[in-house]
Amino acid sequence: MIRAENLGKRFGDRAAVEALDLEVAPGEVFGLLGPNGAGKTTTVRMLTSLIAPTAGRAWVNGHAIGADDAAVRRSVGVLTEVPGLYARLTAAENLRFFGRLHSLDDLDARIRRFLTLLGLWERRDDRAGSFSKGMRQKLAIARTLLHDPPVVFLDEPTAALDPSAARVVRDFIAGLRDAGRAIVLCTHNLDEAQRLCNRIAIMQRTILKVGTAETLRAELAGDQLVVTIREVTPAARAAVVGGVGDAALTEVDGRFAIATAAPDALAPGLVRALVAAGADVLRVEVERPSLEAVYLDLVGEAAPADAEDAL
Amino acid sequence: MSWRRVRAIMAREGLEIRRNRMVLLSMSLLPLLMVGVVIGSLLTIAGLVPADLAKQGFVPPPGLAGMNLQAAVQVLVNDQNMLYLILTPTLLPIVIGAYSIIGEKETRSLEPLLATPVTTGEIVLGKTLAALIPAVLLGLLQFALAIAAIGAMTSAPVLAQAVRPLWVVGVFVAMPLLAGLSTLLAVVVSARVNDVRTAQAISSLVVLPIVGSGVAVLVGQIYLTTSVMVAASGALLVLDALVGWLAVRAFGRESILSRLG
Repeated sequence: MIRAENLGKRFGDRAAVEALDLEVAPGEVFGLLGPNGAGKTTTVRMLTSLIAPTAGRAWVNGHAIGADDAAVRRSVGVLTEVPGLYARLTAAENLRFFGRLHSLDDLDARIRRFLTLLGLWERRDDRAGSFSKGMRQKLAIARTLLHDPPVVFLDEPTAALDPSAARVVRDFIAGLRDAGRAIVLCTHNLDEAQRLCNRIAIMQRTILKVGTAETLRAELAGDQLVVTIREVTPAARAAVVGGVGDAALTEVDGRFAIATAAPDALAPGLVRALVAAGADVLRVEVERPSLEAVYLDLVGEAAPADAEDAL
Repeated sequence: MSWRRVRAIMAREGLEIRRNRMVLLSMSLLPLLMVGVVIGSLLTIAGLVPADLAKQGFVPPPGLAGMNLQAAVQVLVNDQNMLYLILTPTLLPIVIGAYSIIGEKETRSLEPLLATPVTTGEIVLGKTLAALIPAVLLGLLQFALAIAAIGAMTSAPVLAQAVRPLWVVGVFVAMPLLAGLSTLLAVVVSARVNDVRTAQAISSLVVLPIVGSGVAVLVGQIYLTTSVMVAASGALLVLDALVGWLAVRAFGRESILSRLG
């Protein structure tokens, strides 16, 4: 559905995106995670034929970017970070306008279908300017999907929404994925990425790492086996040190944290050794690093210079 | 070029204009004022006594020989006002044209628009026509009201002079072309600047040459005849086409998105 090879974009002598390779299949939600200025919006704009790449090639729904831009735009639905609705037009008029630009014939039926799906049918004759943020975002989603695009790009779809509105939008995105659309989701919200995305790419000008949330966590940070005992005695400490072998070990107030790729294999022997050393084992847990930890590890806590924001 | 998409853009812009009372009001004020100027000048002339005009040495131009002196003065003043009526609609679409692209950029509706299959030519044409049509309609309305006032306040020979071929070509051909030129120039400016206020300020400057040519007629530097008006209309048609082409070129889809983020 989407394929990019060595895609790049320079603005003058500044590279916004470099050597980007990605592939998104139908029915997949592909998350683009990155700090401000990482090149997410530039990537989406290239893949929707809004701006031309300065390097590499890409295809969307079989149409080559730069060679068949009109066909690319017919194939994609783009939800921009800001809804960008026409405030003086009603919800139905906003959709009708975009439906006409896509030369849709069964427009009234489509408008009814999407406004009903997103709970806005009763407000169809109200001006978009009178809508709450959540309602505007839903209307923008309806506009994005009105022409039934096989490829959907969503830029921060739940940003600035209250939790209940965000949940409705997330459920809707999950529904789109289940309906077989290829979805690219740009977000800062790691929890959202984890819940919705089949695969996540962490990017900073290029894709630094791509995988499922689980593989990213395992590959980059690994699991930790954490054993907590009531009182640390020399015998107990010796039992732990002897039991973990070469694995990295940290100890804080009776809490031993052991970095290991196989916590299930390590735990039974360690517990037996501690009990044999007379220790009271209070808890045995496996801690998985959060996606946030993986993300920060890759991109660093400080955001880079906002090349993209300056565009 | 899809006329369906052009019509969609025109309809959407038209709807927004109709729902923005301040824009409608500001567009309507000037034509109404010009009709007032026509009526006011006729009322002023009505107070003139032919004997006084003769005493002051007023001699009607050759084309108006045989008319009484008051009617001749009415024709001369009407001719001047007709030129104003032709020039007025060039100022009306500037506000809309100057807002047309940079305004969408500021309200963030431009990116969703550009993400559709609509072409740059369709956007420019749709937006130009949406600004131009109300201006031309208001221009025709002010002409109709002015003619009605002339008909009601003067004699048949004076009215006949107001609707002679020179002014018919001027109002129905040159006026829409002039207004089209100012609209397209405003659209070009709108595509190249970074905020609405700058667009409106620059757009009001770019019509100065258009207004300047009107002033040249008023001060006698250009003598208007029907053939001059036809020739000027032909030149305007070429200019409109050129500026239309320039407007499409000036609307860099990528640069306008990249410029302001």
